[in-house]
Amino acid sequence: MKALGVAVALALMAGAAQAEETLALYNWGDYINPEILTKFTAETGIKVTLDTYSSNEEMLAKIQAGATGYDIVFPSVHMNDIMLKLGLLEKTDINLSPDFKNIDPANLRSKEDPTSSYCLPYAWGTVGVFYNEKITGPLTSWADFFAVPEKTGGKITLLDDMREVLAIGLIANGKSVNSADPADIKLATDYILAHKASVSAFSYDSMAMMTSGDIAAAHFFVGGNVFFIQMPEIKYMIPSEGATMYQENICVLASAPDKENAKKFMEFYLRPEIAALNVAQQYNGTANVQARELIPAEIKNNPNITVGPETLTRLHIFEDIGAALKLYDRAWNTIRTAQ
Amino acid sequence: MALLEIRKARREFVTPEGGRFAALDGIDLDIGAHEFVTLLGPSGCGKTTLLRSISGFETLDGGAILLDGADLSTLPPFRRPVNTVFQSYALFSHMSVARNVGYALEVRGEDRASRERAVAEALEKVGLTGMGTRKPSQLSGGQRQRVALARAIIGKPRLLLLDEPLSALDRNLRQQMQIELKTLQNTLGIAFIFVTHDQEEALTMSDRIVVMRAGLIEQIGTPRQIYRHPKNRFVAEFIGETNLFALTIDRIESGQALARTVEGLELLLPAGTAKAGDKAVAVLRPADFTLADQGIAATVTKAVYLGADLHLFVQPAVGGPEIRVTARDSALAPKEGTKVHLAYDPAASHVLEAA
Amino acid sequence: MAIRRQTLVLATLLTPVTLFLGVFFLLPLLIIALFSFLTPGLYGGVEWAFYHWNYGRIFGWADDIIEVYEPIYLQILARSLGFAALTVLLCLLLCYPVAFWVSRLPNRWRMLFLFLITLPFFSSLIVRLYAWLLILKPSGILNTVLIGVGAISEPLEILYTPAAVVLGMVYVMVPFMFLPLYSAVDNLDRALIEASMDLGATRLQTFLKVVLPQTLPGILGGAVIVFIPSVGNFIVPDVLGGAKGLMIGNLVEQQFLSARNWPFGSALSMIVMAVVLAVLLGSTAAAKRKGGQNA
Repeated sequence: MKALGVAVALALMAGAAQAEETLALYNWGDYINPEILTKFTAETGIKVTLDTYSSNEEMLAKIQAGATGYDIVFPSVHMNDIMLKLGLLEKTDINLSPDFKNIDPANLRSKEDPTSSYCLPYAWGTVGVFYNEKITGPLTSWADFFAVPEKTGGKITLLDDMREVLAIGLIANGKSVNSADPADIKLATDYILAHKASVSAFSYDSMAMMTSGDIAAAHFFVGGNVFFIQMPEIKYMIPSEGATMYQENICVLASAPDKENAKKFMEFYLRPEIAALNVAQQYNGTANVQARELIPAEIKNNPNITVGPETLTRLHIFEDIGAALKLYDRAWNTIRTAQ
Repeated sequence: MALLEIRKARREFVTPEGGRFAALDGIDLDIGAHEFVTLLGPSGCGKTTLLRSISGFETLDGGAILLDGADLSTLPPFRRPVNTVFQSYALFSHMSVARNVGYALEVRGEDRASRERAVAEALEKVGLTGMGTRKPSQLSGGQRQRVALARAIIGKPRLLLLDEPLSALDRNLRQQMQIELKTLQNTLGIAFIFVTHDQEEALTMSDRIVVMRAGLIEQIGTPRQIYRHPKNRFVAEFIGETNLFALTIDRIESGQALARTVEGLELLLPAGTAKAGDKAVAVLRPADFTLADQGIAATVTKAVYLGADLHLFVQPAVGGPEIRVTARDSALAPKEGTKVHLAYDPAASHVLEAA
Repeated sequence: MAIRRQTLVLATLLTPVTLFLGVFFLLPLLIIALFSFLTPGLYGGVEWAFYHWNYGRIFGWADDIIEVYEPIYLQILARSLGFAALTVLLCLLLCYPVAFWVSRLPNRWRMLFLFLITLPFFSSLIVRLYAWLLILKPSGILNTVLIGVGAISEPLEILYTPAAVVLGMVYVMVPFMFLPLYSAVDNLDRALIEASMDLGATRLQTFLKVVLPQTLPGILGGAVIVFIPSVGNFIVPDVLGGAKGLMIGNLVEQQFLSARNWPFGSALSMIVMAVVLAVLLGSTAAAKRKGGQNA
């Protein structure tokens, strides 16, 4: 039944491909500058479709469940590794492309594919704290952040994300954000539980509430800066104890119907002006060294967005933790259920 | 003192166009403790509004309704010692027949044993003994009617209101129920107010008939009075088939008046107080005429066979409207086109008080 | 011969429906049932080996080595059932009088009202919930108005509380309660109410003995239609509750979309289904008992 469905889908895709060159992207919501897609289509004549997901696991579950028709996905580095282990990705030899020299070697973070013969670094950024300085005064640490409600009456929110939230607890206890030790995770859980009463919500909707002044401080991605260009009182900081960073890579699926077009897109994205175009709209970091020179000054010179080497030492990136994920899941259930 | 006194009852409704319309336009009516009174009239005449004013589902805009001399107007429906048999029966479909019948006692808080006794008794009165465990949906139309009746009388009301309860039954059952209702009313010894638009039902059961039109009472009387001596053209035409003759009195002679239609048809009437030259409208029922050797010369235009009787439409030779005549059917009965003569007893004719 | 022909026609007519239900309803259900007894794959999916600890984790026979029993799951289920029951109750209390009021409106206004109550179906649930976010937040419309008229001096803390979750659930579910209820109320023969009062029943007695039993099918229908999706709803607790009180729907979603534990998510789904089915059968039995009197 399923095999038949796949066969039919493939036949249809093949038919469509003959008539018109296509490329199907499956990306996080609002995670690519639409102008890039327009430019790509204008230059190559390849029609691009875009579907979105809201977590690595959602994307993985769909691909594992047999979703076909997608060419390119944008997993975080640890998910890139998982997908490689599961044989879901296609080798592209993108590292042999002439423009690959533009890529900062520091951004080749995959443990399974250290030379980038499969995936191409897409974008990276930090996960820190936004705060409304008028309400909270200056904040520099997680301790400051969690003290906001008691000190100022302002509200704070954390991301509705299992690993991001537990990472705060691990960092605060000086543990690795990838720890598989139940004792570490217990410490992290207790840390978050101790502060749960101060947290108004676990939410991805905090940026609009920051703008309206309903939330005083929020745990969020660096890209949130895009909302506060006109609001200098909203600051972004990387807590002194440390924080997480993320990086997504562009990967081609083993099941991709249009692998050649996918490679064309990767090469297109290797161009400095294209990578810079994405930064200009996304307010995050790029792995393209040449592109870093081309991004708008207000982003380039914003210490909130473009972090210095000192800050980089305080940033931790998620890795695949295998079966230990279950420990995090149980800790997360405990945190969300506690009254 | 009458059981029920209705005094200058007024009830107005607002029409969809925003106008006002008096469903009851000043009704005065007394009803005796053991009377069977029928409110008769075409739809919209106010008869149902009057009934609902007595049961308490309509509030009067003016006037009063008194039961045993006490004003009912402040009492909600559930405090009035009056019960109703509804046109649709309004049986509670989620309850058994017995619970339906015993409902009035149940809400009054009577104990189970006395309720069961009373229910059995009421069911027996309406001929439904042993049907208590059924659901209303398992009964025929006639049986449902009887359940509604039993339910309404179990609380021993002073007055039973019946809102066209027989209209959904077929003709045979209706005639049977008419007799049973009259018998039941005698047995119970309470007053019945029966609303109908069917004149035959009214004539069969009533002690008195109240003919209503447009919120007003046209005539109150026994069935015979209403039938034989209608006060006006509306009552005459509403009750049974009628021949109406518009006449001018020609002369008075030995207690009888000789009158003439415009076309020249001559009729003899009881003189009463009429004088020569007066205008009058006379009523003669189809059965008042007989076919004879002499009398009004006429031609049969249509003969309708009705079993024992024959209904004839007869055109007088002098012209004017056709006369309706009921004749016994026989081998000699006239056919269409037959020339006949019509005779009648002048004493049977009736002159309307108002045209 | 005629009977066989009829059977054939009937079979032909029913085949598409049977196939449709079989493929799109029964098959997924069977897959979930099967998955709930399989071993979770390290990176999602399943391994084809029997594994009863998905249920053991929930009901208490886990070995504490491979899987750990935690009463938290049944607590979350109980909490979700409680919220769903509260939603049903509030929807019912809200809709019942309104249904009577609407059924007495002139035809034109009634049609308008019924159109208005179905209006939310024309826009996405997420969009409507975000609208509530804008209403309930401290600087939102509700607080602005209440402070403006001087009813309160400090903004009400509704957003991200259980009250906001209940409010949101009731808002989402009200149309589902209203429509069957309205249908039952509208079909109620007004003569029955008059008959009851005519026979001496007070308004309260009439309500309890006649109106309530007569509209019970609508009440039960509405309750079931509201209860089932309420148990599994996870969007309202996330958006309006700030994701602080975990519901069974969140838990299932999380197993598939972040914990990568499909079998455990399937086992939780099976339990939710079993509970919902029990509620459904219970209310059908209740309806049949009452309906027996109705028949």
